[in-house]
Amino acid sequence: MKEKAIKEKIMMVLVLVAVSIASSLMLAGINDFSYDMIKMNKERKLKVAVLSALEIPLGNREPEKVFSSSIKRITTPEGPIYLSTDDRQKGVAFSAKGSGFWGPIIVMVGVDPETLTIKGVEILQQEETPGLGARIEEDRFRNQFKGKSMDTPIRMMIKGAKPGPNDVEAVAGATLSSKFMEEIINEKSKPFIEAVRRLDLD
Amino acid sequence: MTDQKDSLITIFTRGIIKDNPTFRMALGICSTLAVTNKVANSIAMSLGTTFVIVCSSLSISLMRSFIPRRVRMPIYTIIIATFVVFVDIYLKAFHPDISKQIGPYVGLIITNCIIMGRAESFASGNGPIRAGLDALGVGAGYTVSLLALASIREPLGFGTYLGYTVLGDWWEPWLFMVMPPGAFFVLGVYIWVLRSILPVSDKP
Repeated sequence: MKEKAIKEKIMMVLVLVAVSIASSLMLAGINDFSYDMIKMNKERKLKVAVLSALEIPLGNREPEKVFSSSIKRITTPEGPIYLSTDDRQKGVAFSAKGSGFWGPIIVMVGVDPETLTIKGVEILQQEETPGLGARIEEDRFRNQFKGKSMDTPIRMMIKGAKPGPNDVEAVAGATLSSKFMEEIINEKSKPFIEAVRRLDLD
Repeated sequence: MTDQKDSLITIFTRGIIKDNPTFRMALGICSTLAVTNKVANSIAMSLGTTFVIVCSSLSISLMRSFIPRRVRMPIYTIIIATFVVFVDIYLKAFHPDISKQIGPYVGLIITNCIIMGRAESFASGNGPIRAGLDALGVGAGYTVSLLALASIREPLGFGTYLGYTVLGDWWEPWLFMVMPPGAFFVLGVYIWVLRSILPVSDKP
């Protein structure tokens, strides 16, 4: 009887260990196989975001090619800054990171280096609630930032309120996500704006 | 329910209407409330969940004679989690756009009680063909209910269907439908209607 009980326990441990090992091996294999692909996707996403924030049209061209021909990456103590080398489309882009509702939000902001007005805003990463906060990704919300000045704070207004010249309509039902965006655009971007000013002086 | 006499067709079809996981058994409500404000997200979520139900039911059914009863729950969890991580990595690698949309919810497939429910109540006592069909039926039932909910919530909440505008500018979107409480309301109506048409028998 006792022997049977011990046998049963050993069996339990053995099966659990076997299943865990099989699962780990499988996932390790899949991870290995897809690692480069996921990395490439991420890089492509960054490049597309930079180009889009700087209003550089892609057309039918590969984003990688356009990026390498028209963008210069500068490393600053604040982080990387992407400079457009195209004289007709002057612009600098940087990614500002701040907290969001569920996880960090990373925003690629493109600005005109002379007037310091926003050329474009792209969301690189966000984990906001789908259908609510996640709508900060939608063109309708992001396009409102175009042409706004980085010199004065950009404020979020709820729908129906009378917006000033530098105000943006918040995402309905996502007051907090909109507030987080406001903080990222106004506060977290500041060091980068300083860095851009410094670059111009050089 | 695990009656050996049930035909394969019955096993498959009962998950869709008669034993619909969401509308009849009220399982997997968490993900149902979360993703059904957009049709596209619902489709992606249903496909992911169906894939995980089928794969885990098949594996558990194949392994059912080796799994010691006392550790069956952790083993089910490991198996389910493996397939969920697989779906997550697959979406990240091949469909980064969908992954971006429903990424946070893919991990939550693990906690969908429909999967554990099928594993415990059906796959652990039936052969792989029956378990696979049962899982496929339940997955189809889950898909049907998500689509049924999203088809009401997206037009009312955003004025769109699959992202295309169906209701014009005159339509003032109901924020209520975008938020989880709106799903409760629609879900309640569906359960009510379905119970009226097809009463649930209380006999065992």
